[in-house]
Amino acid sequence: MIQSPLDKTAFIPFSNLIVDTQDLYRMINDLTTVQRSLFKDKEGTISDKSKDFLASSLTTVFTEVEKRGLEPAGDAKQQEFVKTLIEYLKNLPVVKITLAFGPTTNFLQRINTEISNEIGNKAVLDIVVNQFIIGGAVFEYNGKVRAYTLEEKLDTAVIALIKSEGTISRKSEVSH
Amino acid sequence: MNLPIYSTFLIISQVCNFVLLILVAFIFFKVERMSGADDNRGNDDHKLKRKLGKKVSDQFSGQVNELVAAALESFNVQIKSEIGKISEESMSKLRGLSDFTQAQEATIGKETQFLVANNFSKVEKELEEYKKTQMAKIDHEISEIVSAAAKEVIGRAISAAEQEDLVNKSLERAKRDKFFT
Repeated sequence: MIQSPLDKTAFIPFSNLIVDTQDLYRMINDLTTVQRSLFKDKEGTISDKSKDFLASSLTTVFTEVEKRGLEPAGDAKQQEFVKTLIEYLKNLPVVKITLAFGPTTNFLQRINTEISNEIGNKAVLDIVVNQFIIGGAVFEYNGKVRAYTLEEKLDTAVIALIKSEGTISRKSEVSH
Repeated sequence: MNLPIYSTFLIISQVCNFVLLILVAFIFFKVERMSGADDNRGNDDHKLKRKLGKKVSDQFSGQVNELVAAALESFNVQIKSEIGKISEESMSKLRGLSDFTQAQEATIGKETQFLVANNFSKVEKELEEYKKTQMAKIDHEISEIVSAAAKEVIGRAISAAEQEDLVNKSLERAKRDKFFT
């Protein structure tokens, strides 16, 4: 079993590649494939063993981790490392954000950084696009939901407008 | 209720008449016997006795007739008086019934007027409530329509950059609210 906090340090480069849930599922899928490839009695690091089918971004991260001496040697330990990495990634905090538009990657990365800093841990964004959201976003985290949109302001303004219009029209009805 | 009184009165009158007749007959027989006893005194007195007997008989007969006539008259007067009383009583009762009927009609009229007025007021209130509910419903529906239209228009009108800016502001507000902690 890999020891903490060294393990966490080894996992951070992987989690840094993740912005949203799609990235997370893709990485877990890739790591599961890597885990299977470690049974082939090959010698060397994980990146060597799985370089034929591993995504380039993951190969880079594995190489970086190996260079820093954070990756264990041997099939069993490497397999345990990957298994623990998958568990770590699965346990990352997820923040669901409902937006009115399809966000760009840069925008999502910036939002992710801000939220991760606020939480104090790497966060995974679960992005939902809903065209009925007006100006802003709805955040869901840790069982809490809060809408920071213009909808409420808009509703209040519309109701006030209708009431004032209704009052005027009724007054004019009475006067006629 | 008055019939037993008349019957009693009639019976008493009949009994009185009967007693009177018996008395007359008794007196007549007494006189007859007295005249029979004096037969021996002579034929001269016979005519005198006859006259006297006839006179007494006539006199008693007249008295009996007078008494019967008086009794009948009294009876008639009393009958008339009773009939008059009954008639008056009946009239009084009829008048009472008429008054009662009129009073009832007046009461029913008043109650009907009250009920009509009450129902009218109730219906008026219900109409007012219905009007208010319907107006509120219409206001709500209009609000929803306008709100949906406004959202549609505003949603389209906001550019991507403005959307991002609004999301950034939302995130800042969430951070201020300590939503993520």
